[in-house]
Amino acid sequence: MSGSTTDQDTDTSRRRFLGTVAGGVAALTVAPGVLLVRTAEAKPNSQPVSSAVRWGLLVDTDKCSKGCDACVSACDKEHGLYKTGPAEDQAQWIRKVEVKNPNTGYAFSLPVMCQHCEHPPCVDVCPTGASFRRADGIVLVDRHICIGCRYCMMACPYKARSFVAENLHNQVPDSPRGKGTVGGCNMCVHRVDENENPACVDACDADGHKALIFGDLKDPNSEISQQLAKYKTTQIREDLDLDPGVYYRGI
Amino acid sequence: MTASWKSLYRTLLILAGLALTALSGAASAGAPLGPVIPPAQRDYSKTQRCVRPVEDMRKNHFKYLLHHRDQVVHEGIRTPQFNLQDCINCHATRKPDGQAIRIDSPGQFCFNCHKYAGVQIDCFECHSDLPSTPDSHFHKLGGDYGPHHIRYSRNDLVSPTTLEALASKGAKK
Repeated sequence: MSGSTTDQDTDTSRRRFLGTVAGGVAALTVAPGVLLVRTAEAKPNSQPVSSAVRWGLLVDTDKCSKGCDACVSACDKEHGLYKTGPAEDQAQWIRKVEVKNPNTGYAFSLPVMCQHCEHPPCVDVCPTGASFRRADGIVLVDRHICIGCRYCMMACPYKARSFVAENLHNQVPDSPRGKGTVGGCNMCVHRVDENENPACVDACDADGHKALIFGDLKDPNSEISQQLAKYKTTQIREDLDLDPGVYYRGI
Repeated sequence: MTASWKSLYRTLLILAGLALTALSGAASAGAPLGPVIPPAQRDYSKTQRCVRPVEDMRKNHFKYLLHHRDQVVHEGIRTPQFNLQDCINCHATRKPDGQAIRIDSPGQFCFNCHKYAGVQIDCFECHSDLPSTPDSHFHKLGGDYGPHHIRYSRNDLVSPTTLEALASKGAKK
C-alpha cells in the first residue's frame, strides 16, 4: 500500500521539478500577439504530484458573459453529471451565479466551483480521510473510502459538493462516481495530470470569452501568476482564511 | 513416523488424488472445469499474455488494482500497467457491429469469473464498465509497458494541426 506523500518526498521532487522547469521552458509564437508557453517536459506519469506546484484558477468576471453556461455544460459532459432523479438531487460541480447591485442596477455573473482551499474545511471534518488535498493543491474526494456522511458538504462555505443519491449507470471512464458518495470539482485531475487545462477553461476559451485562466500559482512565470501580480483580485470569503486557489477579478 | 509408514501414507495420498481426478473428470465430461471467459483482445507482449503472468493475475489482480488506485487518486501516479480502464479496453469484447459490450454483463470477462468464484465486484458501481471512447482521456496514457498501450509523446501536446488552427484563428481576429 502506498502511504501519503511525506514532506521529505515532496521536497526532493520539488527540487527535481524546478530543475526540469528551468531546463525546458519553450516559448512559441503562434500568431501575432499569441504566445504559447509550455514546459517542454511534463511530470512523468510514474512520479507523484509535488507541492512545488499549486494549481489555481483565475476568473475574470468582466469577461464572463451573462447567460453563458459553457463552463457548466462542459463540466457536466466531462464528468457525466447527467440527470438521475429529482432536480434537487442533480450534481452540481460548477454553477453560474448572477449578482446584481440593487442600488445601481449593475449586474454581472461568475462561475463558482470548489475553491481548492489551502486549508480546506471539508478535509478537516472528513471522518475517513476520503476528502483530501493533493500535494499540488487540488482538493478532491477518494470515493473508495467515502462513506457518504456529507459532513464535507456541511462544512464547505462555497456549497461546492454534491451527493449522489441515485444509482448511476453511464459514468464516463475519466470520472468514476457512484451512489452513496460525495463529489465536487476536482479541477479535472485526469486532464491536469496529462498537462491539459480543466474542461471548463477549454470551453470558455473555445467560446472566445477567455474568462478562466488555469495555471501554477507557485510559478511566477505562469500566466495566472503574472495576471495575479498585475491586477487586483479577490478570493471569495477571504475572511475565512482558507486561502482558496480560485481567484476572481472584478468582484 | 517410520520410513515404511511414510511411504504407505504417500501411496494412499496419491491413490486418493487419482480417484478424485477420475471422479471430477467423469462428472464434468465435456464441460470445462473453470469459468468460461472470452479471450483478451490482444497479448501484452510476445512472451507474456497479460500485464503480469496470467496465474499471478488470477490470484492477485485485486491487490494490484487496489495499490494502483491509491497511487492514482492520492499521488497522481498514472502508470498504465494496472490501470483498470486499460484492463477493460483489452478484455471487453464487441458485438459484430462494433458496439462494445459491458464487461460486467453475463458472458463477459469480469462477470463470468466473479460469478464462478462467488465474489461480488463493486468496481462498476462507480467505474465505467465500457472501453474508452476516442474522446476519453485514458486512452492517451502512454508507457513502456508493451505494445498495446498507445505511445503518446508528452512533448507534442500542441500538434502542428492545432498550431495551424490557432494561427489562422488569430489572423482572422
